[in-house]
Amino acid sequence: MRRNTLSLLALGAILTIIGLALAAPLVAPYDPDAPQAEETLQAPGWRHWLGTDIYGRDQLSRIVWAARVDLLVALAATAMALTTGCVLGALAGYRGGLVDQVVMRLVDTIMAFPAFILAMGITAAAGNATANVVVAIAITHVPIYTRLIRSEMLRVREMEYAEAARTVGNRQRRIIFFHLLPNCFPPVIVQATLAMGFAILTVAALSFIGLGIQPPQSEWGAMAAEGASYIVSGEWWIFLFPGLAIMVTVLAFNLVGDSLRDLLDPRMRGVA
Amino acid sequence: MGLGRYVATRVLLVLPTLFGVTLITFALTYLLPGNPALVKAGPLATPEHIREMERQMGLDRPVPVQYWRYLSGVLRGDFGESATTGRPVLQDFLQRVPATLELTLASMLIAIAVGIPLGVVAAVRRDGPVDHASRLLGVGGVAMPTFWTGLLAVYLFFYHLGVAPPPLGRLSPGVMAPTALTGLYAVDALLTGNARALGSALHQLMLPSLTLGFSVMAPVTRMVRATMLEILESDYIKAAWAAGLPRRTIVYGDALRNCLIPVITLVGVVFGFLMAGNVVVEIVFAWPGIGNYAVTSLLTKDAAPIQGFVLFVAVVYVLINLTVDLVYGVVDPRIRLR
Amino acid sequence: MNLDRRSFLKVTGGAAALLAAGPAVVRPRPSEAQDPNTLVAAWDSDIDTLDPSAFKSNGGYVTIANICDGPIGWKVRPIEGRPGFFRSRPGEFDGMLAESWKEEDDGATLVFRVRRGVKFPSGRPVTAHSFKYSFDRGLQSPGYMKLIIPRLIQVTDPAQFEVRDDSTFAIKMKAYGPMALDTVALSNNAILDADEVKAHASTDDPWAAEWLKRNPAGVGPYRLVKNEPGVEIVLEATPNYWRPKPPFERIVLKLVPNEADRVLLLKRKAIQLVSGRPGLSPKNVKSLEGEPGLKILQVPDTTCHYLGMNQKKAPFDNLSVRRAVNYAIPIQAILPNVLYGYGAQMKSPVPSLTPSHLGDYSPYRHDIARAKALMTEAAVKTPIPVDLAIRVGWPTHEQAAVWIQRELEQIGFKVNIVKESDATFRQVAIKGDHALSIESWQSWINDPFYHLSFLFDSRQKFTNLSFYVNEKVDKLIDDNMHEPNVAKRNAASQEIQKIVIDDAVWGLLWYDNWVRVMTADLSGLEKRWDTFERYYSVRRA
Repeated sequence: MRRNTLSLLALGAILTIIGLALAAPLVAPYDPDAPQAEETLQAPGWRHWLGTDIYGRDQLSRIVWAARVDLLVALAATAMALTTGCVLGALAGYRGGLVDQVVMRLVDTIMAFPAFILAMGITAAAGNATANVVVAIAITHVPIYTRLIRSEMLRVREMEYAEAARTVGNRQRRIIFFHLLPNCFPPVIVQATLAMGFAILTVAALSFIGLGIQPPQSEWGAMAAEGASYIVSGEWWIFLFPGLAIMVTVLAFNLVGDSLRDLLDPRMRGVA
Repeated sequence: MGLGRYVATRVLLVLPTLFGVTLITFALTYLLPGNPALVKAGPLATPEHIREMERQMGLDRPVPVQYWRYLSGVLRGDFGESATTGRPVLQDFLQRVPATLELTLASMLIAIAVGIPLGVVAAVRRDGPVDHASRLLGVGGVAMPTFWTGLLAVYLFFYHLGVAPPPLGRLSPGVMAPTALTGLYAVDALLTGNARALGSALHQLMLPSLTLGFSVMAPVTRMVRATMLEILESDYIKAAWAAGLPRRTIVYGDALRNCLIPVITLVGVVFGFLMAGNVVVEIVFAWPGIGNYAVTSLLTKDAAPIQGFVLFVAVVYVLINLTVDLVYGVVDPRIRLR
Repeated sequence: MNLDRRSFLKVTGGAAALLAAGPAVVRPRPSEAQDPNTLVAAWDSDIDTLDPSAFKSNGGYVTIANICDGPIGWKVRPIEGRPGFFRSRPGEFDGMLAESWKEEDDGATLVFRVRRGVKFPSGRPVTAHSFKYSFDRGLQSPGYMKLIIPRLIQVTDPAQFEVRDDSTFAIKMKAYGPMALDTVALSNNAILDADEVKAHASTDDPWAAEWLKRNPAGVGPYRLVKNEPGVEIVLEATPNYWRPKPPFERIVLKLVPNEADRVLLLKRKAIQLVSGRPGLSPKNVKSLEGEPGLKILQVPDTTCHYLGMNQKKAPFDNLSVRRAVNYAIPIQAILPNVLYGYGAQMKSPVPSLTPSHLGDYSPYRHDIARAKALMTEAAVKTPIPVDLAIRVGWPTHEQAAVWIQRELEQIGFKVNIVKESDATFRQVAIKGDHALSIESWQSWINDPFYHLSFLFDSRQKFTNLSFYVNEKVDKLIDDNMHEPNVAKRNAASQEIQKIVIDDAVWGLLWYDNWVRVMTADLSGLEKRWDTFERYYSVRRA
């Protein structure tokens, strides 16, 4: 079916991008950060497939190296959000009562801010070091997982096997982490895949308003934002290619996330 | 849970959230590096002048006192003064909110007007070309950085093709703003029958709202498609098929109507996305809204407007989600059990 | 909707092709017919305050310079080779609200003759009392003038501002001041309608600073008719102004925060001029060269950009290290690739347009071998991790930082570029927490001692951001600040320049050119020392 072909293509794209990122030192034809006065603003061509920027740095090499930064930031933020969210959600869902109340009010407060606005505020306040960008994105993602896990927990808790485990005399923590949590994973994995794409977009938008990853470390959003001032003078490649890199990567993550959703959890199909 | 109790609980739950929101807003700007007194005192100010500024601004007081001053100010509608415009934040806000509102509403309209039909067709002709196209378009829309799409749009439609007006805000140069009724230029122009302003306002709105609308269309389409599929497979629709009702009646009558209810919940989600997108799109199109204001303030470390902006957005977002929940609770009693 | 979508898709499909074709298909179209009496310019600043004596945003300064005249102004003369454009020259002035002036007591007293028949918008006449009130206010209300007046013209007591009769105003300085007329010519000395301002003063706010923030109270060629922050500022010609009506009756200053948009607007002739701090980066100006229908005005300027090395912080307390840095700066790459010719190499901390500039003394040039040798001499342990701080929104600084970073890494530094917002940058700088940073400075008064005293005097904690301490330099500044003998003064300035260059206090980078890009039909732009445009003289050629 075409739907599957598309998803497989997307999965292939993700694997390729990850592969390229890992192999950046081997694959990238040039040093991504070294300015070259003789090579500035070369249009795409044989020597530089995707052209060079105002510093004469090879765009292809920078885009490949930037994949490391973007994927790492997205992965770190997602992992951090996931772990925190899972622990909070599991506690809230299983324990209920006061713990549940406190956790849910915290989550509500974070969710009261549109994600990007909060990320913007946090990065502005904490300074835009890479680690702060990661934390900011992670914080905005925590509520999704907390709520997902909590509601799954509520559902699963009532199911028979939880009952069974309880009667066998398992300790509470074991129940949460070994019996109930694994059953919550499918929707969480779907969400995490989608979140990867969202994180990459957030970093890009932060870069555009001047709050993203610091130069000269290459990052797709910062590259595109920088290139924005050069489209009008005809140097369109600096703007276009990093944007395309973002688009392809996010698209791939979203398509895979979609398919995973269909595959793992038909109930969730179509819910944003 | 009865409806009354549900409403009461839901409304009460908003209070701690709002309190948390003010705490976070305050903390964010308190932590913001850069001394606001220094900003205000200017580049060659003496240490005494800066200390005097700090005293005036209450920066020499303990943190809880500062928070209390902030909170009581907010409750009185005093959001402080902007260092970049030299005016009260509230005044700047009132001037800019309509711009943001107009853009947000127009984008939402586009996202819904395009997203719903697309979702319906995608569901009815499942796995057909429209389904695939809408999926790609939707996913593609979410996958592109908004500033990237926006700049691309400016470059293509304004610069190359000349079909869009210059990215110069809400009205073309030389066009006077219509008499203010709602603050939304397009609406005001329509109400006052000001054709010139209406044309200009809509023309200026075109690119930014398309950019923004395009970026949030995906969730609408996806949700409509999924709900529609679910409904089309439900027992009562199957019964309708069996009863031999015409296809048109079933799809566009019963199914569509039932599918629109869950779509209400989307308003909250879409609004969240739009608020985020606004910040970037307003800069790209020099749109004089609050997002633009917030970023300018962020870069000049102008604390009061940032506090105001984050607080405003959060409060509106909370209220919209509350309304959505309440409406949904009325429409679909099952939700009250959550 | 359907139609819209279809055409949208079609056009998006053509996107790649159009982009690929690049500038070849760029075909500027004439914009909608413009009102011939209106000048539309784009910039990126709001008005933060309209108080003349306060520190202001660029938008605030430019507005004041156009709506409030001072006693005198810098005289402009035609720029050679650029017919229709003008710039100020050192030591030349024009009467504004003062129609003439003369010196008394060997130059220790300046006497101004107030122009007769000029009225404020309130209808009240401009008199010597308005002059006195405005200068009294400058000296006593918080802001820029409070610092400048005592220091540059040695006036500390309001009694030194004297009304002799309704149309004679005198400033009695402690002694002759070489910078006196320049100081009076500053836009901050806008003459205010005293009664109007006093009416809004209170015991808490004796100088009506709150009211003046939002309300103009002077008289100038234009008046402010609209100030919509974030949108636009509109100026209109003042009726019954003392000079003939300006060629442009309306000036519309549009706020366009995104530089790429400003370029597009200019290319499509939707605006006639880009104004602002730089407004356009050199790269974009370069791309507009030869653009049909546009022209570029550039003149050398006094804005200095330098690499600040904090001498309170290791390893920049080490002279050899500072010299090594100066030899490592790849200026030959920065000039073409960052400034695109719109700037010149800095040979001395005193700009080339300023009297006593010493252009042939500095030994520094890009020489990595020399730099490495100096680093060895310095005997510091490498690699040295260091943060290089720059401001957000200053593209030339960001670009220069990338070029510099690479070279510094070759001589043993490990450089991390840190971007900070304006406010943060300044705060960190003042606290002395920047080790390495790219700084800029422009002296409104084109005088070597105004310049040197702010930047190299060890007592100037807020502007001497290299934290350079040299008693000899301090003494030379003290002795010559008010020295009437020009030759002696210039010699002292050159002596300081030699010391400062020998001590490698700054990493010498470049002087900016002042650049404006406009539609080809504009002329009459004037560049004064303070760089704020006066629209009075701008016209269609």
